[in-house]
Amino acid sequence: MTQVTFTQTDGTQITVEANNNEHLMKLALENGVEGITGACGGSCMCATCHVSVDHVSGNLAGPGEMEEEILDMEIDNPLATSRLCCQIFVANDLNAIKVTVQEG
Amino acid sequence: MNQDAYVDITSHDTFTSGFPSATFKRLRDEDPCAWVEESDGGKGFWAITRYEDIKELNRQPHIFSSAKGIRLEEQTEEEYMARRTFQETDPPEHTRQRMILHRAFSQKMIAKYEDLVRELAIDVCETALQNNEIDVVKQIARKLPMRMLGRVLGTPDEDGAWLVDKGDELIANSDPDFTNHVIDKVNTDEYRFMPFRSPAGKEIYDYAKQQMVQRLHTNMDDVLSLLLEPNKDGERLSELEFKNFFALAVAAGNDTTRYSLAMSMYHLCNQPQLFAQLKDKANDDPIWDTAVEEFIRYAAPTLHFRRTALADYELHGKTIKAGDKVLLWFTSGNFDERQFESPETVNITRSPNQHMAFGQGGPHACLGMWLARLEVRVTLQELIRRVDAMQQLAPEKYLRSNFIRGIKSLMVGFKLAA
Repeated sequence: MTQVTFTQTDGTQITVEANNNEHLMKLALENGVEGITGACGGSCMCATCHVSVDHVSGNLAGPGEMEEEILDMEIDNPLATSRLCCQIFVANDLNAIKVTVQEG
Repeated sequence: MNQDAYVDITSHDTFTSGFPSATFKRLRDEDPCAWVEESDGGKGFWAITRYEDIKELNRQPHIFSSAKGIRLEEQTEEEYMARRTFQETDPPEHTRQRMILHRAFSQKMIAKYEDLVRELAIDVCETALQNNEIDVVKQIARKLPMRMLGRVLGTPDEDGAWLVDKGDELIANSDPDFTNHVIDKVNTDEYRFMPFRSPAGKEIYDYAKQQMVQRLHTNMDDVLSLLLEPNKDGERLSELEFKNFFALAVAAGNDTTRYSLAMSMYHLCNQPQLFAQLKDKANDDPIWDTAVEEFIRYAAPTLHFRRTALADYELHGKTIKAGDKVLLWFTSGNFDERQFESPETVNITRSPNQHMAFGQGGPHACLGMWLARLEVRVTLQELIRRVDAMQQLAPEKYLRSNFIRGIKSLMVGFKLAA
């Protein structure tokens, strides 16, 4: 199990335990995280699941080329830590991750 | 909605009496991966009708390919190559074209069109409401999307009406109200290399070529010019890719938003509480976001897209064999009780609302989804602002198509706002 913490735009946090292969956008929707709508359903086609990655314990694969392109197209000033959370998958070697919801 | 639980879901005629909801409910409950024979002699297909299954198959293009066609129609390799758009490709080829096009249809880019959509919506609504008894599909829902798409693409306003007619001939190729070449009634072999096997495809190709040539000489600072620019790797759309994209845009940009608007207006007529919930709401009230999603969930104009299995796949105790046609019935997914509480109820505050009207969750999620959402929201805002009540005056008429679902005629009487 991986511990995933979402910091919402009002500063409150939601922490959940997640199984392998689940992506963070799905977890956010299932747990009512404010500000994540996932309008494209996790196709990496919009930025309505935009987050910044604050902390990682373990390994996290970096963004793919398409994700970087979408971030560049949809977000005015993406942060160095910006990610689309539909592209962040829980894995064995990811122990814990903290992300903050960003404007999408 | 049609309450017969055993209708033929391959027949275009079935859908002229509304969405066969009882049949799809039976399929979801009793046989969610059903083998369906085609009444016109096609080789049959698997009907996938539950939300979770559709979502799962849709996200696996390496097994469920779009590259053998996306509708029921069987195509030869030659026909396929002549007519294919990026919709009929799989990643990574699909991704290359999709990302070129995405530049023009991103949420950020489309948001810039809000004032323009509003200007057009005001014009369309004010013109239509000069009479207080009108067919709202013909006078409102059919008018706005193509005018807007024309503005986005950069085609002249005066060509809009012609493009709507041609778009209808393409995508409504099974409805005699829209074409003289009804696909299952006359021999369309002559047009097999044209989009939608339609003679209108040739006219659209010629028009697209003309638009392309103009822009190769002059950058017209519009989306068609943008699409002709090379991407960061120096790749450009070929002439055939451009023409097929244009045909797709005219067909898809024209009718799905129309039918979403038509269904929204149908609900507003028949459920006055929905009208009351939206009346006098500010343009930026959050209810508009949830209302638009819910109207689109219910409208779900694209009934299905087809995939072709590239490998054997087990689902609900059945084996889908490599080469089999698989239909993802997105409309059925939007009415799946396993995903949506009271799916037959229009609840305009429903949240979350992870519907699949835009094919969300797969690589082919609708390119125009932000434009569609914007058009539905702004048009409903401008319509509701101008009226105090609306009432359906005659039975609605549905499109004859097993591919696109929609109300093609809806007579409405309005009480105009004082």
